[in-house]
Amino acid sequence: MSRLLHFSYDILLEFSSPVGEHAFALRCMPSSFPGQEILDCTLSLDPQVPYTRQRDGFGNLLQIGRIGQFHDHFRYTLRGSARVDIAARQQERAMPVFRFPSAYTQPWPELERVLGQLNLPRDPRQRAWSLARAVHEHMAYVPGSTGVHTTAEQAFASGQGVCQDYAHIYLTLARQTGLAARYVNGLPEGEGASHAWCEVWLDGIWTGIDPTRCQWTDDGYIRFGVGRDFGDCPIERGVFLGLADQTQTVFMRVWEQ
Amino acid sequence: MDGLVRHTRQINQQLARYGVKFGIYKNGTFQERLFPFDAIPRVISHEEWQVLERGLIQRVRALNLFLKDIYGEKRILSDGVIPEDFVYRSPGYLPQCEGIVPVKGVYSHISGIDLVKGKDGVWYILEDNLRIPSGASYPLIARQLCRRCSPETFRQNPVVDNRGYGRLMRRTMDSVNTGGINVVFTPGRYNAAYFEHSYLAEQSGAVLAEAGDLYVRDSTVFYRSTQGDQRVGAIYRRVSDEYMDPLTFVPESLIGIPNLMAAYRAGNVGILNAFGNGVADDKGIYYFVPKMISYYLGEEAILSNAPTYLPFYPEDQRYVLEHLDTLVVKDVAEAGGYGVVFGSGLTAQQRQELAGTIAAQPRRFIAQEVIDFQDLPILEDGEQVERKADLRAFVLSSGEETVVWPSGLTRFSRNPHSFVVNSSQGGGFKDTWILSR
Repeated sequence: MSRLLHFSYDILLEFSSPVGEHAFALRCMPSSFPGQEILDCTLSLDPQVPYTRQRDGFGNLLQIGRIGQFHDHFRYTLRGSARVDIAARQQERAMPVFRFPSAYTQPWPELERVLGQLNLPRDPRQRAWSLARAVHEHMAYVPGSTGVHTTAEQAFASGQGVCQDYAHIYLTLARQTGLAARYVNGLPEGEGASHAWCEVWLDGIWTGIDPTRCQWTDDGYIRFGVGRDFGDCPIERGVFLGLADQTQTVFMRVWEQ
Repeated sequence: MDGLVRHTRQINQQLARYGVKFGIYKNGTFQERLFPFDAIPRVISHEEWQVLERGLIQRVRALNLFLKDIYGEKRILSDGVIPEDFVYRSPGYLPQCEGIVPVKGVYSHISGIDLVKGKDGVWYILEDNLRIPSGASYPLIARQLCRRCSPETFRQNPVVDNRGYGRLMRRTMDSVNTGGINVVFTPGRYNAAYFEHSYLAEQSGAVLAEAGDLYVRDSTVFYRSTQGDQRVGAIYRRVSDEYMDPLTFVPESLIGIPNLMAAYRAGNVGILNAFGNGVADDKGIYYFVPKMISYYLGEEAILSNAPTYLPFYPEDQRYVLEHLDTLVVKDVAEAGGYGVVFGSGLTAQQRQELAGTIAAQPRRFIAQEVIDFQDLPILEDGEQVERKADLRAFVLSSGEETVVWPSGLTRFSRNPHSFVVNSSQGGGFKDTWILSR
């Protein structure tokens, strides 16, 4: 069983006054791997500037470029289709670093006590699942309650957050119990904003788990990038010269024909 | 040598005039201090230097091979020589560098290796500095001034000329230059070592640049010169890894070059030293360097480490906790003489607290026997007194060869009771003479 999904992803950055010297690095193009075959994919930029494609240290596709001229907006648009079949996922080697804490996923002093109370199963798969349930139960999904710099510890303490925070807490817990786990962002089936979830390394296979929705991922998820945490694979990063406020409008859609 | 000593004041005045300063942060404010020069040189005999030279080259070769291995195959981990905790928990390990092979496979182009000479006459390695070690400019300019003040001293003594450092640096940069100009990249004049950055640029014939002078287009670095944009082939950068590219590392950095990492990854620019070297000069990894030497080179280490214990190993931990009163404990994440605690200087209660911290976070610390190192004579108010001193040797690795600069920075502590000689802790420096026969 596999599914053919179409996707569109539109980002518009608007600047309150013109900016220049704008360098950007995008990780918004999904790559093909067993279980996710990208059939076609186009990226268009406005202002139209050339960009270079590379792979970063985690294997993610990167699109790098620079807008030298002054501009008051930057729009990038992604269109494509993919065949997703999680049953076709194959065994891979895991970067060992995914077993260790990272900037957003540092353990905190009471963590061991929290884990102790959860009474976790020894079986890695069951443990991975129990942790997702625990995170889901502990957290309330409250948009705007956290920011891009919020760590797992902070989000856990407040009990509120968005998908990024759920993922960070999940990773902290999972790694502390000895699982290799990584951060994933991409597009889930439906409409709205991009999403973040996790992958746990079970029997050599990177297996998707979504703590925000409290489910194993299915054929409705398109993966952009992976990393130790959010900081390794942001979909868009940029720096520019200019004293401007920036507003961002995001719209994505993933549908089956 | 008397000729030199008579000119101490003059040389220090000249150093001040040339702006040989060292910036330190004290109580949160930036202060510029003169770096006091003592005219009595440290003298290293020809025979002694030959051993040091061979040992330093061996050590840096092994460290370069280690870095290549860590960011590539990781054989030393899979073979169980080094526990992976010491790599993956190290803040110096940058997974962003995975899979990148720098030009000619060189990671640490300019290494600063700190040594001390024990009272037993044996040289011990104190630490390796493979990121952006500073200090070569000070003995370089001091020698020049010494020669000017007292040329006869250098006619009468067989001192190896050290003034070729600029050429050596240039050769190292040229060897990894991908086509374009050489640049020394500085965070700017509020950096502790700004004098050094500008002086080394001048000596090596490179362009001194700051953020904003360089930019990346088509994965290639360009310098905005008065004659238009020039392609940059090699960058000797004196900015820490995490601030070098806001699109890869710390996003708030204003002193970096956006998308530099893309140019580096594409092989379009040589970066001296490579990103991610911090994983090899971590105080925890130091313990393993002799093992690296035998693992990669099949040789015995020529130069010894100070006797070191890793509380990470239960056996070592037991020893450390029992002998805290005689050991020096170092926090592996700190540098520049910070995070160094002498057990002998602690009260019983402080010692107990430290023992608790070590037991709770064993990976964070190393402990070493205090080496009773030789005192060197210095002049203080016209009197000759003895003070602790170390030596930073500079080892330059190009794609073709690894060489040791026949000189080095000898730093001394001005406090008679202190073993810590780091310039950030207010010490002074001396010229280092290598004798040619």
